[in-house]
Amino acid sequence: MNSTNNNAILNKEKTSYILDREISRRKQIEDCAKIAGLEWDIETGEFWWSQNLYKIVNLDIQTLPPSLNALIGLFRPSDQAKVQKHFETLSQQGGSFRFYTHTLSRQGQETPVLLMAKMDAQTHKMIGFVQDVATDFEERESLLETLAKYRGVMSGAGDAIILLSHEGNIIEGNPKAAELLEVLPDNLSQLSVDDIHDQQELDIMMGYYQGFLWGQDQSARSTIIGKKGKRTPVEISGRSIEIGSQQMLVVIMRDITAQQQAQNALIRSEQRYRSLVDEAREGIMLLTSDGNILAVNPKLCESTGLKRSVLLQSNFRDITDFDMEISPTEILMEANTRSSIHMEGNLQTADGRLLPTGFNVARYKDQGQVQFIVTAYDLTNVRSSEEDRLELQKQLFQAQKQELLGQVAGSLAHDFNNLLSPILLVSEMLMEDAQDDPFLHGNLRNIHQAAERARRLVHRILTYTRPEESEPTRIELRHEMEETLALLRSSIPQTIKIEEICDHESYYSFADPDQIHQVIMNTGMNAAQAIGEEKGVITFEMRKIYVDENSELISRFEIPEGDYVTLCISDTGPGIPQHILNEIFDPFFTTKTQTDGSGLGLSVVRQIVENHGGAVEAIPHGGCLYTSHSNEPTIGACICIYLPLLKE
Amino acid sequence: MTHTPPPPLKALIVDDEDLVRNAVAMVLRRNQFEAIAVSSGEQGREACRKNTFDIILTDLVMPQMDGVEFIQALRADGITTPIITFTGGARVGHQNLSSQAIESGACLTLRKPVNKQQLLDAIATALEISR
Repeated sequence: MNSTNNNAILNKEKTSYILDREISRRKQIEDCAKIAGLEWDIETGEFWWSQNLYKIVNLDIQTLPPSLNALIGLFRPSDQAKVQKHFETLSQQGGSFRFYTHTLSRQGQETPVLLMAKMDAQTHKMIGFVQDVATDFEERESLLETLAKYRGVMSGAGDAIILLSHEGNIIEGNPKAAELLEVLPDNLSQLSVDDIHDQQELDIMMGYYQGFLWGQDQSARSTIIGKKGKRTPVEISGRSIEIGSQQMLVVIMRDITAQQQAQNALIRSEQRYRSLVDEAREGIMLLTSDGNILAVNPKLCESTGLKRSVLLQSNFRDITDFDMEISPTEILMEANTRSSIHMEGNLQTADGRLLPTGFNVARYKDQGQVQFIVTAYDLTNVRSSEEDRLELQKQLFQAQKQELLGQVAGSLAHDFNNLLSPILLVSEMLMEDAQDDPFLHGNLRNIHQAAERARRLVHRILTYTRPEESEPTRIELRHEMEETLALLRSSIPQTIKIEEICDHESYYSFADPDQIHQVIMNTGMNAAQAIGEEKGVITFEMRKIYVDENSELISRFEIPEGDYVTLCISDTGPGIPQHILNEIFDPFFTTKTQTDGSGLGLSVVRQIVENHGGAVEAIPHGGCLYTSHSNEPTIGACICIYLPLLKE
Repeated sequence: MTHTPPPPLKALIVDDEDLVRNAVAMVLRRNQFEAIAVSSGEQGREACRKNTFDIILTDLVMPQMDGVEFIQALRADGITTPIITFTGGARVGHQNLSSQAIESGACLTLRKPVNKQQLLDAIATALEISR
């Protein structure tokens, strides 16, 4: 029992002791923190403050009982209304407030304090404190002093400068910062970093700000958003400074709008140049002075068939070829001595082909380093047209050579023919003399035959070099006609039939067989063209006539009297109109369109015939005396040729 | 051919090549021609002044006076004798001589080398034409 009482006493003493210690500690802490507690029961109006308040406001304990009005009265008069308003708001709306103010002692001494109060929703009591913040305030004052020193510098700065508390609140800023953030300079301190950044960038930027505090000096790019929504690209750098005992951050925000515009312009310009390079029809590469490829455009990849990544690992000499004359390395050495050079060579493709290519190598200096810009353009077409040109040149050369050979051959033939003449003539003569001596005659015949063979050989050469020269000889006209008609048949449409009328006699004339062929051929072709694509017949009729001294042919053509062969070529075409009868043998006379013929065919006929002492005429329908069928209604025109016959 | 022996036809041969000139003359003489052979156009012109020929055979390519000039000179002199030209063929610058010769009044052109038959045929034709 006793022990129980003792225990109770002990417990009581112990409790009291603990309580005393608690109170003592609290007082010590309050004293240390220069803080005084407040409590206000709004329902009963009962107000309490801790003893330490008297110390803070420098009052005797007894002189002032706690009450709200007494508390308000402790602050300097200019703040009292505000304090009262804070409490009213708190009692009506709950929540909390913090308010920096000053107490005013009876001795007229002001002490900076922080008044803080909070509504406890459960107990419906207000609790709070008043803290003497004179020490902080001094720091703040010294801070402001420091700031004032910097302010001059800051205000003149072209960049926006803000001073941030380590919590991220703006303490101060220069006019440029106010402009950037679109607030009045005095209102800068209402903002924190949260307010000036895009929400999406905020985390990143907080990282940077933290970095600045830790001494990192890496700048950041961001966009600053003004109070009115203006966005300004900025480069942000920051530095930690210590003002008083507080760590703060000086943040410089450089407006990079112009810089970014310039950069954008640069990017656009670069894009333009890139498109020039990328869209170029020439391959373009940038080389180091050693020929290593630094850059290529798509065309070069396309031409070589090599990937860009492969090309960028290659050297100029790996992908080019210059026909042994000069090595790619030598080209670059050469280009280094001049501003640019041009070379033709080949581009080596991935599949091993050599692509004829022209190279322009231009020297270029990039920050003192020699580089080369190489433009490679395809020469395939150029070269093939160059090859065409060379081929033409070759043909021309060949033609000139042939002409020269012809001249040489002609001149040699002339001398040869002169030499052959006596051999032929004399051997013939001697053969006549040696008819009684078979051995001698045989030998002479060998000489003659060899000379004849040589003559034919020379003739062949001359025919080749001078086809227009005539060589009249004794020919049989009917035989020549038949030969020519065989050729004519294959030269005219099959719808046209060729008929031949002659009396199977032999008609010898002194004429050039080739030219007689030409006469028959030209006249035949002319008749065939008159018939056109219709069905038709061309008739060649040959007969012998005697032109006596009374013949009208003599007066008409001024040809001598004698034996003539007439060759009349008639066709079933439309005939020749009377008014052009005399013109059809004129050179260049033609009724055909320009593409059909030269208009020379019949004029050549007349020329040849007259050269052979003959005549030619065109006779309208029914007028020919020397054709058996002249009066047949189908007959159109008739060309009649008179050639003198050799005397038997 | 003829019942009364005709007077021999007189032929003039003009050629700077003596081998040709002599051979042609020899052949013609064998065939009842009276032949005079000279080696230039000038000599030929001179011969024509002194003689009357029935036929003249001339080379076309000759130094100094060529065949065409010779023909033109004869025609200028009023000589109408039928003329046969012969030439060895093409020499540079002489391509048109044959046709020029025809234009200037030659009857026929022959190409060397000629054999006897060609020569005689040509003469016959030329005489026929000019008759």
